[in-house]
Amino acid sequence: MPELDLSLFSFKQLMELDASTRCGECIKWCPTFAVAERDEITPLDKIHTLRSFVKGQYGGFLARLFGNRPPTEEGIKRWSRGTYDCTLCGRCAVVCPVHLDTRSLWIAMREQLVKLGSYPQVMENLRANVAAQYNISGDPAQDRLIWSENLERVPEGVRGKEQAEVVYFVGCTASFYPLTYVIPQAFVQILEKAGVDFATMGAEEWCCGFPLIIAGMGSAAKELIAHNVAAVRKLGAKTLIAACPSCFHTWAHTYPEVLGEPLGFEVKHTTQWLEKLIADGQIRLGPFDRPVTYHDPCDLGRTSGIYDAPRNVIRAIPGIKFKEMAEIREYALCCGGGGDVEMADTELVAAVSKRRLQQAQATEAQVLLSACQQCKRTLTAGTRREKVRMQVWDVVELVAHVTES
Amino acid sequence: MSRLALFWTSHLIIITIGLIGLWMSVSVWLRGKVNGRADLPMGAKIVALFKITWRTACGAGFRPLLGAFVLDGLLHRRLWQEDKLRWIAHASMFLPFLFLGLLSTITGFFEEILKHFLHLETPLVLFITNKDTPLMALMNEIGGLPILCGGIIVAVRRFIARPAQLRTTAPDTLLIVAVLAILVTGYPLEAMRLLFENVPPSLARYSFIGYPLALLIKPLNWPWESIHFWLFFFHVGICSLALLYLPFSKFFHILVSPVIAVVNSVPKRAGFKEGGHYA
Repeated sequence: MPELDLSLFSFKQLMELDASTRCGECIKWCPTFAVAERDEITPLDKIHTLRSFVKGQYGGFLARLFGNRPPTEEGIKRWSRGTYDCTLCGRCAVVCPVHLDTRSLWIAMREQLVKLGSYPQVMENLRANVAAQYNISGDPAQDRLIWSENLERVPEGVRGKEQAEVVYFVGCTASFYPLTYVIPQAFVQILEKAGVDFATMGAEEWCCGFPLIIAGMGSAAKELIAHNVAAVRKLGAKTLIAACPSCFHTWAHTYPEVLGEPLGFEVKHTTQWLEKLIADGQIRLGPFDRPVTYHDPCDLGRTSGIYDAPRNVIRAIPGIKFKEMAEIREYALCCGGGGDVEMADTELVAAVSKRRLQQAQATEAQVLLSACQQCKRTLTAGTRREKVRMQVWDVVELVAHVTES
Repeated sequence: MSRLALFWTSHLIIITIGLIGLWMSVSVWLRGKVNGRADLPMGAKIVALFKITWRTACGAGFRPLLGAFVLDGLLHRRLWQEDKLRWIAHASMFLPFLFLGLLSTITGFFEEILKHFLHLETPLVLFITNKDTPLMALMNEIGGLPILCGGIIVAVRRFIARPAQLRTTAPDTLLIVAVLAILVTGYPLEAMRLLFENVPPSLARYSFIGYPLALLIKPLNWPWESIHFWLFFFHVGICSLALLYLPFSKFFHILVSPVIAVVNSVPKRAGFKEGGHYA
């Protein structure tokens, strides 16, 4: 019989199981439940299930009287399906009346499920890819800069610099998924135009560890973290810029926790850096007259609290017609691309992204902006599937498009 | 055994079982990590928790924590922002229950400890222990009304409107029935007390629900004192059972969620602690 290991949870997380009021507010806002309508996906159900397992095994009145009742195999499987079908968007935490820190709880649940051996086996491919090639796709590590090969002119910072003020951490998605090559291509050109002393890490850039952490395999990320920090320190950088919100969040928040010390350099998201370049007059923007809307990436917005930087960048463009969607900022609907769900259930991702695209269409925008490679992939796939006449750009692409030389 | 002796005996048993229930939960929580470590002995975890709490309170300041406790833990401002009707239902049950609970504790302390045990008969003691003073009568009567309204809203939502987000289980139904039973018996109890204690109308009228009810049932000429005795035990019995069940039921959130609301209001030193790995 499977047995829970409560040492994988924090004191506070176990307390949160008892703090849930079971009001169901989270159910109303859960993007995956809205399309899949399976109760095990709901935050309420996940908490209730774990609570009942814990009570059955350790703490319940009846368990104390009549002996432990470990969870059944079927119960664990159901819990696993619900937990791994969550995009970790964190909207449930925003609406929870008693402020449960749900996203961290879901990740802890995944750690527990990995320990129980009840998780989508495709996660093992992820672990194997990262272990062998230090990236999520399993492509050769030395191909990290493949995105730069069709640039007309490769900026000096892309290859071969041994010291730089700024390190651009490209991230696995932009490095290995062709649909998003355009983001690093655009960003390095902006950096060059702005005269920024920057470098990329090439093959020395390893996966930031985020996909493993959220898969419940956080212990496998420690080696990656140590390597990446050492590599950036070796470059003598004062700033690290990440275009991927998940990489950004992991660098800015998880790395110092794991290391137990400050990084020694600041971590910025591309939108924050662009905001600074514009404010400092290092780049000048030309007009753009097509209507746009903006999708808040979950890991940039809700998880990291960055809502204004991308909006300030968009609004700095002369003549731009910017209209917000119905659900924005901390209430923004997830695109469906988070939480490693794509690896296990592409149909679910498609259904979630369809809803977000409908909200974007309602603004009559011609360009749907985001600030995340994974959002771009997910939403672009959605426009193709749903035959939506709308382009999906990263804010970086937009800025590169309107930057005057 | 006198009525009060039975009352206090039962209350002591309930408090003991409640504390056992609380410890059972805390002992489960203590199996988790404290300060990122799960391997510490239970005692060391408790000491570490006190240290963290003290450090956090000093670091964040008591005022913001108190603000979070009141606004999020007690008043549930997020619920107010999201759904006014639900907030009204919740607040009209939770806050008066808290108020009446405090009132009962205070009057119980004055009655049993100060008046009967220490034989103090100061004006304040006499005032607090007299159920028929206008203020005490009004507070008890007013306290019950919003709970009744809230209970009705909750029952309508759970069993008639049934919004899709709600998942009503047997324990939910049981607790709603218990709350309504406590309320439904509370006002008749007061009406019967007014009758058999022959409280003069000049004082009884402050029980603005109990008194009209007393006038209504008076013609029945039943043995009110005896009925009151048994109804009182029924009323207190349900109260006691509900209290007894509290640490073992979903109503445990009444104690735990304000704490969590305060803890999660503290800005994190370095952002979210992923997966409890480093929490």
